Amino acid sequence: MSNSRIIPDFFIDQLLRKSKKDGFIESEVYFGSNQSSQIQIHNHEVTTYESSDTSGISFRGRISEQMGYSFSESFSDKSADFLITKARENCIALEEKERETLFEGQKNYPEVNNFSQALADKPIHFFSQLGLELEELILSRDSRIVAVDHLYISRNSGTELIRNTLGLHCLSSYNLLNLYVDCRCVSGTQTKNGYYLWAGRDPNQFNISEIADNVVERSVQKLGATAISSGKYPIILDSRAAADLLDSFCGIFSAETVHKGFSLLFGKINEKISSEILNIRDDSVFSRSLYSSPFDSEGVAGQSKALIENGILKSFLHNRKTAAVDHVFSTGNGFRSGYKGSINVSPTNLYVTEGQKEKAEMMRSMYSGLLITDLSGLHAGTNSISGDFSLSCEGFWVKTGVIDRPVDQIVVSGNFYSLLQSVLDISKDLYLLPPHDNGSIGSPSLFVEGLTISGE
Amino acid sequence: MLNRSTVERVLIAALTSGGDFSEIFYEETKTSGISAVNGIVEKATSGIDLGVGIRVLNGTSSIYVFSNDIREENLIRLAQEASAELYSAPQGISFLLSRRRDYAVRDYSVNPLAIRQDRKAELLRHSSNHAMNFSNLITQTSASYSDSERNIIIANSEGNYVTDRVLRARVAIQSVATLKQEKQTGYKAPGIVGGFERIEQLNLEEIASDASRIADTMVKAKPCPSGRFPVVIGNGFGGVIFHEACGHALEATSVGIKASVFTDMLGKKIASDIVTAIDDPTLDGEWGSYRIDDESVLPRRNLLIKNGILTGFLVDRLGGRRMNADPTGSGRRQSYRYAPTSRMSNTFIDSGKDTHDQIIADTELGIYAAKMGGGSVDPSTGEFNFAVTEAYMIRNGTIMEPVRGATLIGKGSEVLMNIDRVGNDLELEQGVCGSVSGNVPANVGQPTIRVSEMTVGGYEE
Repeated sequence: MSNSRIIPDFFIDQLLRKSKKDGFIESEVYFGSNQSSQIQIHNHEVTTYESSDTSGISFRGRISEQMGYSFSESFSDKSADFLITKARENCIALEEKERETLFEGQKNYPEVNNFSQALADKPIHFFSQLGLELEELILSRDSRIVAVDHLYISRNSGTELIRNTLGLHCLSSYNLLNLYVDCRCVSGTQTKNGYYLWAGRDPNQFNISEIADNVVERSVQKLGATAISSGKYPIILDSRAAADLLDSFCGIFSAETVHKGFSLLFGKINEKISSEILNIRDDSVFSRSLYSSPFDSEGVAGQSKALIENGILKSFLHNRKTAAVDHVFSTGNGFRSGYKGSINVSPTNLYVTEGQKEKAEMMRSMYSGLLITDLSGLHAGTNSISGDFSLSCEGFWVKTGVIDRPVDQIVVSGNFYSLLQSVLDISKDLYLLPPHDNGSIGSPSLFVEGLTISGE
Repeated sequence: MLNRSTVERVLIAALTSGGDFSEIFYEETKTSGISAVNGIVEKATSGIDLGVGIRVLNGTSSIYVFSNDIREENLIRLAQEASAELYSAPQGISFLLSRRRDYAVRDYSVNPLAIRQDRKAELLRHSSNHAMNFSNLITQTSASYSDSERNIIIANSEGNYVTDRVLRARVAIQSVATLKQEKQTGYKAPGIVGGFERIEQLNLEEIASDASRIADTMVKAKPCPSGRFPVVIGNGFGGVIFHEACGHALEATSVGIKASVFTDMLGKKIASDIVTAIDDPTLDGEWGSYRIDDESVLPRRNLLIKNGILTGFLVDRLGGRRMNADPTGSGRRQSYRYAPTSRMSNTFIDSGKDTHDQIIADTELGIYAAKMGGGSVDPSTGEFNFAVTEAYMIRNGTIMEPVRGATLIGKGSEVLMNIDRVGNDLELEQGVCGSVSGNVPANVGQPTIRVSEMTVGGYEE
C-alpha cells in the first residue's frame, strides 16, 4: 500500500475535549493503524494478493469509579458522539471493585527497534519472486514432495498512539515480514504434512534455501510414522513444541487470571513451583526477539522481570489495576489487543531461559523415549485452569540416544503445573515463536520425566 | 454508507488493468459486549466496524484490498491498485447494477443493540448467580454477552447490488468446580439470530445449571483411560467431530487446490452406509443461516454425503473456478477484512433410526463422549483431534462413572467408515468456526452416533 493513514490528531483533540465537557473525570484515546500486504503462492503462480490499510480509535473514560470503553473505525462527528455516549453507558453497567485509572506517563522509555526502513522500501513483488523460487526449490528437493499447499508471505506495519487527559503521549511504529509454508509428501499410502514459520525484518535474511531445507525436512521426516504402544515414556519436548505449550499456558502468570481464581499459582509467590533448573522471564525489551515493547497500552515502560527463578515463583505479570491490588508496581504488561480491546494483562517476550546442553546430548542422556516435535489442537486440548492437557502429537522414537523412527497418531497427556516440576534438563536451543502483538513466546527443548502416551 | 454511483465507479476502476470480475463489500457493524466474573460486571465495550473490501478475480487469481478509509477517491485508488496487480489488459467488461435486492427482513421485535448495557448486565448477574448456586463445588463463574448488527452491501461486475442486515446475540456461561487441587470447567454458549426477545426466551437458568453440572461432574471424575475404544458421541455439539474431521475437507478452500483427502472422491463411498450429512444455510432462524452469502450467491441446502456416498462439496466463487463447479452459496467471511471463501453454515449428520438408549445398551465397554469441546484437523491428511469436555465410561451397556481429560484423535476418512450406529435425536448447537476467512457463526449437529473404535487419549496412570 502506497500511503499510510495519517493520525487523526484533530479528531483526537476534539474527542478528549468533548469528553471533559461531558463529565468524564479522565479519558484516553488509543489509536492504532495497520498496513499489510500478503501474497499466496500456489502451483507456480501468485494466486492471491491482499493489501490493506485500516485504523481505528478506542476511547476509554472514567465516570466516578468505573472506566467505560468504546471503539470506532470511522472518525466523523457522529462517531465522536457514539464513542462518548457508549463509553458512558458502559460505565453505568460496570461494577468493578478495583478502580482502573489513567497514567500520566514516565520520563524515560527504552529504545527499541521494531521498524526497518529496508523492509518498508522493498516492493512486495520482490517477495513474490522469492516465494515462487521457494516453491520450486521445495518441490525439487525431494521426489516424495507432491505439493506445496500453502505458501503465504506477508508484510505488516503499524503505528500506535496513546494520548490522555493527564498528558500521556506515547507513539511507536513497527513492521515485520512473515512467512508460512507447508508441504505435503507421500510415500506408499501415507501422506504427511510439515509446516515452517519464518519471521524477520531484514530482507537479506530471507533465505529461501534454508526455508526450503527446513520445511522439507519437517515434512519428509514424518514418512513411515506409526503409533507406539500406550504407556508412560520419558519425553523431550522439542523447542517449538515446548514454546507452543508454554504459549497455551502462560496465562497462568497473569495477575488478572490469578485474582479471578483461574490460576493455580495463587498465593505461591516465593514458593518453589518448578524444577530448580527452570527459569522463566518476561522481557519487554529482548534483543533476540523481533519485537520489543517500549511501553504497554497504559503507557508504562517496558521491563525485564523474572517470573520463575531457579524454580521459585518471583512475580506475576501486572497491569496498573492488578498491581494496585497486590501493592506492587505494574510490570508493564497492561495491553489491549488493538483498538477493539480493553486493557488486560498479556506477556511480552516470555521464555524459558537456555540450559547448557545440545539437544543431541540430552537425547543421549534420555537414552530411550519420545522426542515430540509437533503438538496439535492446543486451543481445545488444554485446560488453562486445571493445567491439564491432552494433545495429538507427532515426533520420533529415540533409541539408544538417537532418533530411531517417526511416530504419529498418538496423544500426549499431562498437567502443565506438574510438567514444570518434572523438567530434568534444558538445552541451549531457544526457539522464539513469531511475535504476537507484544513479543514472542519461546523455549529451548525440555527433557521431562514421564508423560502418558495413548497410542496403540 | 456508500451510494450506488460510487459503488459502480469503484467496480469499473477495479477492472482498469485486467480482471474478469470485480466485487465490492461494504460493511458497517455495530457491536456491544459485556462480561462478568463471579457475577460482577467487569468489562463492557461497544464499537463500530466500518470498511470496504474490493476483490478482483482473473481466472483463478484473486486480488483483495480493504480499508476503512471509504472516501470515493481512496476506494477508486485502491481498486486501480488491485487491478494493476494482475499485470493484464482490460477486458472491456460492462455492466449495469440492475440485479438489485434488499435481503434485510424484519425478523425481530427488539434490536439487541438498542438494549442498554445495564439491562444485559442484569442477565449476566442472574445467570452467574444461578451457576454459582448449583453446588458448593462451584467456585468461579464467568459469563459474557455479545451482540452485533451487521449491515452490508455487496455489488459486483455481474450487475448484483444486494444489501442485508443481520442481528445476532450470544451468551456464554462458564463454571469452574474445585475439589482439592483439581479444577474442571463446564461451558454453554447459546446464540441467536434476530431480536433481543429471542435472548429473553432462552432458559438461561437451565443453561447456567448445565454449565455447572458439567464442571461439578467432571471435577469428581477420574482420569480417562488411554487406548482404543468404541466411542458413543452425544448429539448436538458432538457434531463438531463431523465439522472438523470431514466438513473442512469438503470445502473448496482445500478441494480446489487438491489439498483435501476428498479431492476426486465425488460419487465414491467415503462413509458407512448409515451416514447422510448436510450443510444447510437456509434453515429458518438458525445460528449458521443466511439469506444471501458474502459474495451475493443465494444459499441452498447442500447434500454432502448420502448413505455413505460423497455427493457434494461446499463451493465459493473462486473455489468454483478452480474446481470447474458452480458456487453452492457457501462464500462467507468474518468481515470486510477477509476475502470470502467456502465455509460451512449449519452442518450436521442427519437422523438415523436408533435411539440413544439402544446405542448405549448395545455397547459393552466404551467411552460416552457426552459433550465435545473444540478440535482441529489437517485437511490434507484428515488427521484430527478433539477435546471431550464431558465423558463417561460405558460398561455392560450402561453409562457409568465420569472420566475427565479425554481427547479423541483419528483420521476423518477412517472414522466416517467406522460409524456403526446413528441415533434419531438430531440436535444443532451453536459455535464459531475459524478458518482463512475469519470467524463465522456456524451450527454443528448430529444425533447420537457410535464409532466402532477410536484412539482415546487420557492420562490414567
